[in-house]
Amino acid sequence: MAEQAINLSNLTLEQLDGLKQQVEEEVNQLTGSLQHLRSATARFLDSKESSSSLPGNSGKEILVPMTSSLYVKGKLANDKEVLVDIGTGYYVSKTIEETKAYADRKVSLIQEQVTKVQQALQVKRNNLDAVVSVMQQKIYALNQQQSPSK
Amino acid sequence: MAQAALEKEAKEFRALEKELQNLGTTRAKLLTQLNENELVKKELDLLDSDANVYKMIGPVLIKQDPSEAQSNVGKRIEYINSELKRLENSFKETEKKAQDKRGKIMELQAALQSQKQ
Repeated sequence: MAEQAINLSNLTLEQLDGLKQQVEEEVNQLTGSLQHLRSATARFLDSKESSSSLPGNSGKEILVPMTSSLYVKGKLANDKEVLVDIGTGYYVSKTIEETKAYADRKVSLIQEQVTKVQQALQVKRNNLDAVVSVMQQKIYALNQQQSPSK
Repeated sequence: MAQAALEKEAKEFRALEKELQNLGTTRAKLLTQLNENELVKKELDLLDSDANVYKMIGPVLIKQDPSEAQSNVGKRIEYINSELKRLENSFKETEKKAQDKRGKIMELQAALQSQKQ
C-alpha cells in the first residue's frame, strides 16, 4: 500500500475516526503475526530440546501415539537419528547435531521476520498516536467553540 | 432506459471487482506455497548425496533419492512461478476491464443527470 502524506489536521473528525480504526486493525494484525512467529520459535526450540534428550536412551521404554487418545508401549530403537519434517511433505533423516543445526537455522530465519514485524508495528503505533492526538485537539477546539471559557 | 443500462453496467462492474478479489486471494496462496517450496529447496541443497530423504504420499513415507527430490521441488517452484505470471496477466486484464467499466458508468451517470435537468 503506497504511503501518502496525509495532512491529519485537514481531515474531519469522522475521517480521523475511520483512519484510527483502520490503523488499529493493522496494529492488531501485526501483533497477531508477532505472536504467531514467537510460538513457532518456541516449537523449534522444543524440538531441539527433545532431540537433545534422545542420546543415551536407546532401548528405553516409550509410549508411541497411535491416535490422539491411544498409545502403545514401545522401545526406543534409534537414539542417534530423527526424521525431520522440512515442508511440502518431505522428511529427512538427520543426526541429533544436524537436527539442532536445522532448528537453529529456522529460529534465526524467524528472528529476522520478528525484527521486520516489530519495526512495522512501531511505525503503525506511532501513526495511531498521531491520529489520536489530532482527534483530541479537534475535540478540544470544538468544545472551546461551543462553550467558550470565561 | 438509461437507468437500466446504468444498473447493468454497475452489476458487471461489481462482478469484475469480485474477480479481482479472487485473483488476489489465489495469488496470496501461490506466494505462500512458493515460499514453502523455496525453504525446502534450501534444506535439500544442504544435504549430502547419501542423505535419507522421504516423501509423504498420503499416510506413507516413501524413500526418495535426494537429487530426485531436489529436481521435483525445483520443477514445482518453476510451475508456481509460471502460474503467478499467468495470474499477474489476468489481474492486469481484469483491472483494465474494471477501469473501462468505471468510465462507462460515470458517463451514464452524467448522461442521466443532464437528462433530469
